[in-house]
Amino acid sequence: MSTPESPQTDDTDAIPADGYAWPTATVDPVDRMRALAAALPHVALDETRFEVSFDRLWSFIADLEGNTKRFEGTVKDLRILSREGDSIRLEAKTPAGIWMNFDTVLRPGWCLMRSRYGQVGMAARPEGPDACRFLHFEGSSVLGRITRPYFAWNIRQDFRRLRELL
Amino acid sequence: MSVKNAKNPDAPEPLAGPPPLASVEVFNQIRAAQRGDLIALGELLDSLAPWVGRLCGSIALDAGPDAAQETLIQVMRDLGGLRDPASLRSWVRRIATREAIRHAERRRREPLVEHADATPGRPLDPNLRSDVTRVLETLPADHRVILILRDLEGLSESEAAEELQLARGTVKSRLHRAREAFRQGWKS
Repeated sequence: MSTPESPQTDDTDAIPADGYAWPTATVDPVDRMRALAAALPHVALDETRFEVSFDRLWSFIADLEGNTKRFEGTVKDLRILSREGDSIRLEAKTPAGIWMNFDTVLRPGWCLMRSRYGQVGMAARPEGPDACRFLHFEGSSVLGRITRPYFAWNIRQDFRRLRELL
Repeated sequence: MSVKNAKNPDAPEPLAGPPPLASVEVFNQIRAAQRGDLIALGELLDSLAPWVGRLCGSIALDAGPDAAQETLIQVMRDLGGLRDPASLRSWVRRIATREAIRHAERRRREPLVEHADATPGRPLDPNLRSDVTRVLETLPADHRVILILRDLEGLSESEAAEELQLARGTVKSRLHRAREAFRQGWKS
């Protein structure tokens, strides 16, 4: 960055930044999650449209203990250990019967889950009153890109199960 | 994460950009994000998205959401290559202004969309985002970007010139014309 300048005469002419409602572009949770996934080349990502309201979808997703094991193929059980605001500590049981700890951030339309081995993201936005878009990524930074086809297949199965359950 | 106020979508976003980079905590958060830590990436995105949205929204106007999305994708994709976390803000701003100008120029070549709330004879209100947008639309994108960098971002003329790879004299004259046109826009 360049060195500070001496005061300029036209500074007195400046438009006051806080005097106007400047246009602000909003990036919705689905597009934001897609951006986040750009930092994680090992994850598989897919999205779909559900013909149910955003509220219906997200109330189902946000019930982590009750519903995650019903649609997420890599989770057989899930227990919440602690919760502080939108940060949740939980443990999830894999199909191999191993319990793994996850740090989770859960907000309307936004869910991130991180364990030592895996990363999961889910995001949603309304598309009209009776439909919504859902984005989901999964991957393992430890196992790397080689597992991406498996996770891509698993996500498609998750979508199929969600479609049946919603 | 900043979600637009659903009750009042015209309410201004907070003016602050991402948190100052002086603290060890923020430095460590950026380093963790660079290592691919999912939670740190989410937190970084939370702090960048409203600021990037305001930059892109004010420069690219209707094309702002596309410009902001492109910016965030590039930032996340290339974050690992950023050597100095202290330069994050200027690095992101450079990407955002470039994307905002690119999308604004692309949109300029497309047919304009009529504003639904453009009521003839109604005095313009600086507190209405739609009215600020209408006034900014009267400025070319290469003037808007200088106005935003100088008066919203607080960059000096030299810094704005460096950011946009322009001569300082060019920045100075465009800024003068942009401020003049912005003020005139409220009178017409």
